[in-house]
Amino acid sequence: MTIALIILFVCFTLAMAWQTLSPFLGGSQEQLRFDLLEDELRQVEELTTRKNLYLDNLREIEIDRELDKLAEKDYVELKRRYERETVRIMRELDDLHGGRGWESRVEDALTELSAGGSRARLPEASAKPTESKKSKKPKTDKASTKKKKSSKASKPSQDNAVTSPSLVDCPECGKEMEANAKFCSECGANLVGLKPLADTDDAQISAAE
Amino acid sequence: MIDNQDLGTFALYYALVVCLIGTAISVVAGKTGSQRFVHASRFASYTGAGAIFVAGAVLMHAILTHDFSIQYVASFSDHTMPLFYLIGSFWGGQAGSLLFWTSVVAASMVSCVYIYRRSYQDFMPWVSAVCMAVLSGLLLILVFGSNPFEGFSIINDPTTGKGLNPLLQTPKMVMHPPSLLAGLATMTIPYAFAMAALITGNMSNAWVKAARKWILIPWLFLSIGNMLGGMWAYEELGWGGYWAWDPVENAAFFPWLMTSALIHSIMIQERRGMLKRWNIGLMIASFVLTIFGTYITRSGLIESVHTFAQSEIGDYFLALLLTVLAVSVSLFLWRWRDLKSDQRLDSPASRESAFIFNNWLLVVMTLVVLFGTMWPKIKEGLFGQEVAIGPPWFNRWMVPLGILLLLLMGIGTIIPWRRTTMAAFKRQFVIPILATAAISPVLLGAYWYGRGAALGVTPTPLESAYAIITVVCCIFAITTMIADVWRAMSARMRKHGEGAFESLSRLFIKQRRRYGGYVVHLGIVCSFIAFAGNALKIEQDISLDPGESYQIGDYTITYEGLTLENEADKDIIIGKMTAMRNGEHVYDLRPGKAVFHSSPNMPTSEIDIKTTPLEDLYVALVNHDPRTQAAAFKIFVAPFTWWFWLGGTILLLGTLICMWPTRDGIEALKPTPGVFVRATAFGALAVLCVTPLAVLTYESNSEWGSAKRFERLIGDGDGDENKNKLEQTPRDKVRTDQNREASGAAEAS
Repeated sequence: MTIALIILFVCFTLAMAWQTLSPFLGGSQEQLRFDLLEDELRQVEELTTRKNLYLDNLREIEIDRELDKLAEKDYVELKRRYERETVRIMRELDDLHGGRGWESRVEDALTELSAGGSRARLPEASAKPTESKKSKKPKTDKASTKKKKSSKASKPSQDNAVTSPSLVDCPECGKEMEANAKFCSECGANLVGLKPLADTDDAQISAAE
Repeated sequence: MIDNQDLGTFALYYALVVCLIGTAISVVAGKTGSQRFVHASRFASYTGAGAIFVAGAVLMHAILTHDFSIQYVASFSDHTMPLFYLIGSFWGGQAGSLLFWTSVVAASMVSCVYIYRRSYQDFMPWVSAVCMAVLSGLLLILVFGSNPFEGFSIINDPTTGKGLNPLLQTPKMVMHPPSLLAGLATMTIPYAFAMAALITGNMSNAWVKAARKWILIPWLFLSIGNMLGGMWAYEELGWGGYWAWDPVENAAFFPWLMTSALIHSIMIQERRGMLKRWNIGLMIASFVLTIFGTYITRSGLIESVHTFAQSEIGDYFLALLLTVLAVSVSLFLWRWRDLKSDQRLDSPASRESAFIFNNWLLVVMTLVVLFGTMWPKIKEGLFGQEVAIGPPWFNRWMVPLGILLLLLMGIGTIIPWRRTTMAAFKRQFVIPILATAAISPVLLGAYWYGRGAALGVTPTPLESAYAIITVVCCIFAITTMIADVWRAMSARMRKHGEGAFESLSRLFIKQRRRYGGYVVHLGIVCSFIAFAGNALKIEQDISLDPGESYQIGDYTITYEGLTLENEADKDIIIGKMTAMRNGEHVYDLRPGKAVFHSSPNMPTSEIDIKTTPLEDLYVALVNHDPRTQAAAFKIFVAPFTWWFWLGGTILLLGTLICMWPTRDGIEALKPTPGVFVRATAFGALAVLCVTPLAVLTYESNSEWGSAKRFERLIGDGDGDENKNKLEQTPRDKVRTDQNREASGAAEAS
């Protein structure tokens, strides 16, 4: 019994030692990819954690207010502060594609890789080696469940675009938004009826091909 | 074939090297943010921990297979010990307990790094760095100070071991050291978060949020450890109580008090962004006090009942202590300006200030205990005078402080945040105050006229005042909790149309931190009831001849005589007694003393305690005269002691409720530990929490709590013959050497 335990721990130690060294063993190109790849994912996780913490705080003050443990004035002030923070984090998530369009971008990148297509268009997605696809998938699932509404909204873009997501530039502030977005996440401008940039992108690519 | 010594020692060296390199990698990761280094730092921590686990598994293997070529195995185990105590001998000695400590630090580091593998990316490399640096320190002590795999030279190679110290051969003592060590070891994780916050300069509440559950873990284990230690002292040592302010008990109590303060003050930082300096300071103090406690225990600096833990490694611990102190304090001072509070205290009548007062009280209590523990030593060093500070001194300070704390506990539960208006005061406080005013006299009167007066004790006015105030504060604390829970329940019932039970259970599920905390408070209230009961405690040291009776409270204890039983490894001297109350027989009592053949100079007590919620009847055989059969006993009647154990159990369960992972927490644990593993882990902890009380209750109501079980075990065979023989010739009954011969003869026949 204890022998088995010793063997188990020895194997664990050796496997972990190999994992420790692995990022330094590949060529410089692979090492660079390693650094680039995980960065965005980590930021998404980080922001999601922080967002959840603020949501918890919001829940707490609701209860405190219900139990008369928080004066109405303080409640309003705290609520505003927490909401502002939450919205700021959600915006950052959007910028990182942690929300809208994230899933479709990954799907597109996967299709692109399997088809051996051009890598120029999506540098951050195309730079990933095969093993990272596995790690990326569950996280995107999580991000998409957190924002069901938005991922649903991004579905059509998966269907219609073979390679790239459909995007529009906000006419007011110039922010890049999804084609099916109704309002700009930055300035709130109405985006209904704008023509996606992706169409022009696609046209250029097919012309090049 | 690789032998245990080589493999174990190699694993320790390997772990040391990995931890040192890992610390360096983590520092690079933290400084540059390079994902390669972050990845490497994470896996280096797993590798180092793996190597430490290998060393632990090798030591366990050596103990279980009786590899007496290793000094440690030969010193703390032998062939005759059952499996349970063999496992216990892993941490029964100096080097093994240090290896156990190191393993727990490693295990908690692995869990923390794994759980936060995708979050707190700015902190995690630094958390790994701090943990691995602490591990390197511990491994240095293990490798160079006390290596558990040290072998014998060929000439000294023994064929059998010395066995575990008899005092430690009880189930509680097998569990007490690992719980306490786990408590001390797991303190590393929240400390690492505090250090990471100081290093990164991220002075937001992030470190508090990341560390808050990790602070509960050492607190839980320290609570279990202290409780089991108290139970061991109460049931095995014959001190006459569960807490004697022994320096080593105090050493485990400092970090508990400090962490209790921290658990409360971080709530203020989370909510209001205040007390940032205070929290970092408390965290550093808690961690430093764990090492300090170990240092004073291991170095033999102070004298205590725990002398078996003394060794040469005190100097190493002093070096570790000074390093940790120097690094932490420098970082703290460096970031002092950045740690400014976001907000100021609005009003002294607010929840924040109740928490701040509570913190001051807990810190003052820590200082009192620290002073009481260290002053005799300091005074001896400075003036050459020897002074003793005993329980009365501690009680003089701690009782009023404790009562104030209890009062604050009631107030803190219901007082609003920021400021209390007159209207809020009325809404929150009037009902609990009225309820306390109505219930207290009824309960106190009912106890006094129903039971207390019959004990015939007249406490001093101060003692009575303390006891009455304690009970009143306990009732106030409970009524505030009930009022608060009721308010929350009715809000839910109104809003969601739920039934009473559903709303209560949903409250506990949704707000487990808050309501788990209330359960912990309930446990503390129960313990205070036990403290109040001490005012009516009657304690007597008496000497009785066979047939003589003694009156204590309304119990009449009659001593009938001594018997002696022989077992393979020990002789047991048993005093036969009966207890009567109001002319009725209530208990058969069998206090005893066991003399292990391996350590004849260290007899252990078999104390008989009859426990009920109302009071404990406690009888210990202190001494005996083999010729006349006269025997000295320590007897006491202690009202409400049972509530202390009940309170401890409730407190542990409440902590488990607070620690129960949230949905996000469970998400972070995925995919590796499945539902089954989580359920098993928490189930095991819950069982561990209720075991002490269950064992106590069982022992009190069966022969397992007294020496009586040895009478039964002998049965009709040789032993019985032996016993009868002894009873026929009382003068020779208890002469250990003769009886050992007799048992040898009986075995031969």
